[in-house]
Amino acid sequence: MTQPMVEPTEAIRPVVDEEDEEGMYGPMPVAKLEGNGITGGDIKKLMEFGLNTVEAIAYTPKRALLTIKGISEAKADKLLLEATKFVPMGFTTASEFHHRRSELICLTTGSKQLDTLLGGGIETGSITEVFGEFRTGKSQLCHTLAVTCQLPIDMGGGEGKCLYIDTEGTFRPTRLISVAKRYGLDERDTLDNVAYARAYNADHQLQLLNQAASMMAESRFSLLIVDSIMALYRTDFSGRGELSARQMHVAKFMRTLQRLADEFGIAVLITNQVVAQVDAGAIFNPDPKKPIGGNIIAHSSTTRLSFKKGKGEQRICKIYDSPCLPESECVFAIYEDGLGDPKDDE
Amino acid sequence: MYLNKGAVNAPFKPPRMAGRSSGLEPGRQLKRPRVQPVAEQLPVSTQPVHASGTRVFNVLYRKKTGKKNKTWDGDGTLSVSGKNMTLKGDFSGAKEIASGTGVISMESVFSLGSYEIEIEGEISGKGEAPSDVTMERVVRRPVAMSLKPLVRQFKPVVASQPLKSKKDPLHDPLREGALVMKRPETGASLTDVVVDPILCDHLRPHQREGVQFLYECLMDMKGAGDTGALLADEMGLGKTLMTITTIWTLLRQTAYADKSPPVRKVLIVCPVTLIGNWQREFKKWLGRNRISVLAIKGNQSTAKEKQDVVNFGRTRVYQVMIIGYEKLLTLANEVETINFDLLVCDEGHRLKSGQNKALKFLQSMSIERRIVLTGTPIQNDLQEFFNIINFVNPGILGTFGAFQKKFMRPILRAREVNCTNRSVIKRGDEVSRELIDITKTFMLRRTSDILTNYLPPRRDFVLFAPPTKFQLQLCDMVMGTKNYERLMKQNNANESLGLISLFRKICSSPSLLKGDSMLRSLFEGSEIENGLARKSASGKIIILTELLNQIKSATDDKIVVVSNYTQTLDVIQDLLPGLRLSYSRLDGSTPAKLRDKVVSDFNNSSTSSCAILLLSAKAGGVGLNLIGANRLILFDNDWNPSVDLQAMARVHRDGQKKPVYVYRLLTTGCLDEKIFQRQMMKLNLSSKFLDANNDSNDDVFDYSDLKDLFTIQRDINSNTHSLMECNCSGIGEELVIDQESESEEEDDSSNGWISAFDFKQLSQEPTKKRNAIKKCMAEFRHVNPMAVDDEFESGDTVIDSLLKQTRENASLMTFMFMKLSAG
Repeated sequence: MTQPMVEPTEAIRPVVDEEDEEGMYGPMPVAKLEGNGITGGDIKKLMEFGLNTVEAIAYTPKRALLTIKGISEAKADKLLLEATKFVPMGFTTASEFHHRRSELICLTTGSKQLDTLLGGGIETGSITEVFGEFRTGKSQLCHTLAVTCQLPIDMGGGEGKCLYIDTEGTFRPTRLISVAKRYGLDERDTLDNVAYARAYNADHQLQLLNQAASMMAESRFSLLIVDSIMALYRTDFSGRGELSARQMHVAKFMRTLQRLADEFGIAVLITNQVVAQVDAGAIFNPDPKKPIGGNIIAHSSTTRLSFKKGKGEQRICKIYDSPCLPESECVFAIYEDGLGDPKDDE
Repeated sequence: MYLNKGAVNAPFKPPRMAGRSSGLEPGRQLKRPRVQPVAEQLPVSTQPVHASGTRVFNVLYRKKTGKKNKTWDGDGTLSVSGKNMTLKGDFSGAKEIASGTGVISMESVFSLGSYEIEIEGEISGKGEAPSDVTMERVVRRPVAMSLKPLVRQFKPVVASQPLKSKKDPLHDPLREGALVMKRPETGASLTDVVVDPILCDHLRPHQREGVQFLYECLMDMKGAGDTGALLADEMGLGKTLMTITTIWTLLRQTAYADKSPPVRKVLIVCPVTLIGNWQREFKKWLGRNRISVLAIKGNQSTAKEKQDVVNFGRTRVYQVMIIGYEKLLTLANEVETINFDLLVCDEGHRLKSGQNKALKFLQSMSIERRIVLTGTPIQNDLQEFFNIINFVNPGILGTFGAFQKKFMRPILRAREVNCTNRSVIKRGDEVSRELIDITKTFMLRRTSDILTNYLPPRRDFVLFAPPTKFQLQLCDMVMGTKNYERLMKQNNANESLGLISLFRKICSSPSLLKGDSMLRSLFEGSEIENGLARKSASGKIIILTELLNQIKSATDDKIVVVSNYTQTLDVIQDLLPGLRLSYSRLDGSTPAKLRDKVVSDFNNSSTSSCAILLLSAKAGGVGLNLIGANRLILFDNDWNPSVDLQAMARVHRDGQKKPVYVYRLLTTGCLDEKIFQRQMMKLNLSSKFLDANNDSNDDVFDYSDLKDLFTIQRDINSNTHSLMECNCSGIGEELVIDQESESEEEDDSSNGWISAFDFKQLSQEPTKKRNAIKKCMAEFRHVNPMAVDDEFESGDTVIDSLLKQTRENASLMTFMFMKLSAG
């Protein structure tokens, strides 16, 4: 963008003003609870456990609080009591909720068609799952979103950083650079705004989320990407014998993701692998695929999208499950500069 | 994450931790995170011992339990003095819970009576809970990795609004060439609305004015309480760019710092041929990512389009919807559900008829802000003008009845053919001035004269082709029939129209007559039709052939040939292979989705691959951008002069690099020429209102003229020229307009009584006609091909050689008007 340079002092000053004016909003730091019998030491313990905001405490079950070393039952009760004072957790009217939803920020995918299909883009505050075979554009969607989530809100972004957890080793910053160019963004800034972590095993993957929580409490994030949520589970747990352990682990992971989404209002995008369905559905579909992770993943992701390959650079996205979107599909395309609309209709 | 700052989790909060300026070095890979114990330097043994020998600790306690997952019951303080220990609750004045003797352990759980205790930290001072008591714990549970470099403040990647306070303008108002909008007069915390430099830098002075005008109209700064604007600039002044700039400004900015921008969703309605054009213009000026435009182009199924429209309203993905007038009605139910804030009607003269369904529908949508774009707001009469004005700003002229009474009747009466009453004329002038005053606040009309500096020169040639013998014969035969006599006496409008089109066909090409029902009914049963099909030659066809030939051999220019009739285009199309010219064609039968392609292919192709575009004036006359060509041949003319003007403006518009040549072909002395004359009179009507011109020489169509229309003047060079009573020798010298006839009206007495002699003078029809034509043709130079010699230069080599040929075999043309406009 050809934006005239503004003197740095002028650019910085308003931010400070804004913080003073609007310090009330946004995730509340857990330090706000200090006092009333809750000591600085307690706060520190909570933060070490990954509870960095008042919301996090309010959303955490008491049982989990008790597992923190140094938190007694009395203290846990007190913490929950204090936290619920700050965080509205009661009932609200549907009309109020409807109004809030109408102002929900959606992150653009780069393709207008896909955005339209998704009702505006990737919804913030919920988990969106994308599954499909290899080369169907799952990782490309992740790379595009890692950049678009940084755009100003009126350009379809979320004005926040992106946290990228990569389990397959497919993260390529050069892809981000080419997407950044498309939107005329500074490459260096764009890359600086993406926090990347490679997960090496399923436990590590879960542990990364704890760190994510503390990072999000300190800086504004708008998107959390887990590129291939199940890849590590698929090998770390093998066979039926470990199935229930695996699913419990996955459930915990998904729960943490949902908590982050609620707590920080971020969008969560996860990709998933598929498995061939050898026993059923062969009559209507010659090559049936279904996402892995079973019912745990199916229930805990809010929106599920199925990607298929179309001709050439075109890909097809189908709404597989959604609380409000109709079952329909659209065509988008993958280009050098990220996702876009198929070119033939321009 | 919500937009609303008051809602759950909106604003961007700078990180609480002071962001370190050094980030990841570009070359440095993010290595496996290292475990960094933070507080190893604080071993337990350094705990201070109180001088008194009593140490007080913060502890957690629980009753001894056999539970597998043990939890702590509460927090307390433990005072240790020697081996005696006392456990209390952690608030002041708490009761003693347990006491006894034992050995404390800093590291693990130990028991005291029936309680288990774990030490958290030592209280340094007595009585008060210390704030920092966690060193040991830190030692035991080190922070897993140092993420400091990652945890940095989010750097906005686009320097724009979010960084700045809302009170600051979005763009720098002090920048050189910045276009700053007028501030509203009232309201708290105002800010400047500054047009985005990416658009502003491309605006020409008159376009900046236009954008300001549109902005002020739409934001109701004209004081009338109306939020509509009529942009009636002539073709080629960049109405599209002005509109796009206004839309972009309104979408992004507002003068009131505490409000959101006034416009969220924009509806653009335009003829179907222009949809692609609008889309391209948006992309050209704003790029692909700034604004999202949904174009309903009609190349998808209706169900899909309905879904698109519904989604448009439901999501924030798109800001602008472009739709054709016809499609608008098909998708009316869906479009109705969307709350648009701004409506743009391109080629707004489509809404001129009060019965127009699209007009009614758009009125029922009651979109608050409206822009109507048209190059020709008054085409035929004042009623149409009223309809458009009433759409732009409903009610500003009152009801139609009131308008009729107040404006229309006085104006029409003053312009009647036989009106001689001074006071009536005066009243008419007053009223029309009043009308102009009212409309001036929301109507902007500039002529293309201001483009002079930007556009290449344009030469207009009106070529008079002599009719062939066969054409004359045909006319004679038609007029000789009994049925013709009868029709003329009946004065039936329908039949007359049939006759008119019959004569027009004869003028264009006799072969068009094949299958003409009028001809059949005139000649009841005679065999005249046979053989007509082959006789395509006409005066105009001959000169057209020669023109194309010359253009092809002398230049490398591309040509647009315009006709009102597809049949005529067929005839011309048949000629082209013989001339070895390649062509493409755009008419009403070209599918909407292909039209764009035809146009862009023509503009971008080389002359050899596509030299000629055959264009139907009805289908492609408006809005198209045909700047690939710089020569335009208007094969026949329409009764409505704006149709012809529109067609001519396709080529001579912004972006054209080469000098432009426009040729209009007329058949000497025939119907063609009469239509041309009537056009001149109509043009006067429009200039009267739009350009605040006081002189009017207009008259209304008089049915007694009908016969005159068909009469053929023979052995004449140009009926128009003789009507003008010009006594030039036809050598193309500059002429001074003759003021004599106009002063005639002015010295008339004002008392309403005039002498019979004067009356006779005034009522003479030809005088009025002459004045009208003279006015329109004022800048034209008159050329009689027989009167000029080889030295004469018309400025166009093609015409020069045509003149030469004419002198050699005297059959190509009889007369020529020519005009050079600098812009």
